Amino acid sequence: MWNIGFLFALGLVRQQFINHLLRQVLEVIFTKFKNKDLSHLVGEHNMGFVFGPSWFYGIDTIIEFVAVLITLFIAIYSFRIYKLIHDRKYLYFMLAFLLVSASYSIRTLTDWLVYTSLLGRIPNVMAAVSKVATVSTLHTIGYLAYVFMTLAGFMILVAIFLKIQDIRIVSLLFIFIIILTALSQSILVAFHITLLLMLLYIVAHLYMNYSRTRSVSSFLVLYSMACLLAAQVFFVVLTFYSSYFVTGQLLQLAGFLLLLINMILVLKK
Amino acid sequence: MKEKRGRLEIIYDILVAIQNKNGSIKPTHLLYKSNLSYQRMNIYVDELIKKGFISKDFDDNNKFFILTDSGYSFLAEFKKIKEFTDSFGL
Repeated sequence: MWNIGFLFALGLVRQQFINHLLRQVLEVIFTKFKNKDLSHLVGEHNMGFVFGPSWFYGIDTIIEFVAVLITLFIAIYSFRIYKLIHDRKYLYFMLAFLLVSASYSIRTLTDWLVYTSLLGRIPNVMAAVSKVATVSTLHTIGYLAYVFMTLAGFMILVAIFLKIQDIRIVSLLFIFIIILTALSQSILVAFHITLLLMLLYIVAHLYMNYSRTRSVSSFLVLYSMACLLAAQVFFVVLTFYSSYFVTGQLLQLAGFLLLLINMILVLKK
Repeated sequence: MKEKRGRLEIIYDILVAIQNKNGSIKPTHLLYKSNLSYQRMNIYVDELIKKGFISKDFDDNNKFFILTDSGYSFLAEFKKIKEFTDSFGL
């Protein structure tokens, strides 16, 4: 009887200790919330809600929005060429950039949702937990769509540049992308590594194109994709060093701006 | 060895050939200038007529292809399209 009483008391103390620990963890998280720091939050598929330092919140969304506009601009111009000469190559090129543009639109919306929902006034710990749970689902759907559409867009670019015309090979690559998106444990790392590999092929093609033409525009496009490639390297190591997110985003911005400069030069001709 | 012309270059060559003949050319001349087989030239010509870049005209039982305003506009646009295509290596 004495033994049972002792064990019960011990269990009670242990439970109280666990509760105390949990309360402390929640308080730490809530304090971070209050200080506008969301770096500790991780959603499904090991996806962090935010990646960079708190001062960068919102700036990354602006960079993504710039990417939306530039890629949409390229897609529209490519479609205009398709309407003029009816060459399917330009239709696929338009589709590739349209997918990339749509993917960045989704990411912009998702990030905007995270920032506006979680950086607003949150009265207590329970409200914070409830908000995180709601945002988590939308964030996961948004990021999965972003990952799939970006990979699909760049895969079409690879298929155009490598002149892959066999629909069976293209469909096989699509299946790989679907499997990667659906089954990856650490989706963003797998995504950035895959995109990095695709960009390696694209940069190799553009380097050969530049060697052949030696024009300013082919140089700009080569460097724009090289910037996107370098950005992926930073995004891959982001898991270990979160500060690399800013460098990656700035490289990405430089890449898209070089594409914009190229388009301006093209249209000035 | 010279690279094979793409669709864009072929269309451009046809339109330039007509433009160089003051906007009007006989089919035989076009065949020679465009450097295409008779069948291939007809396919391109039909398409360019459909798009409104050129039109057919008859003068004393002779057939002519005439460069339309859209054709002239396309030639002006061509430089941009070519630069876009070359910059991406399409």
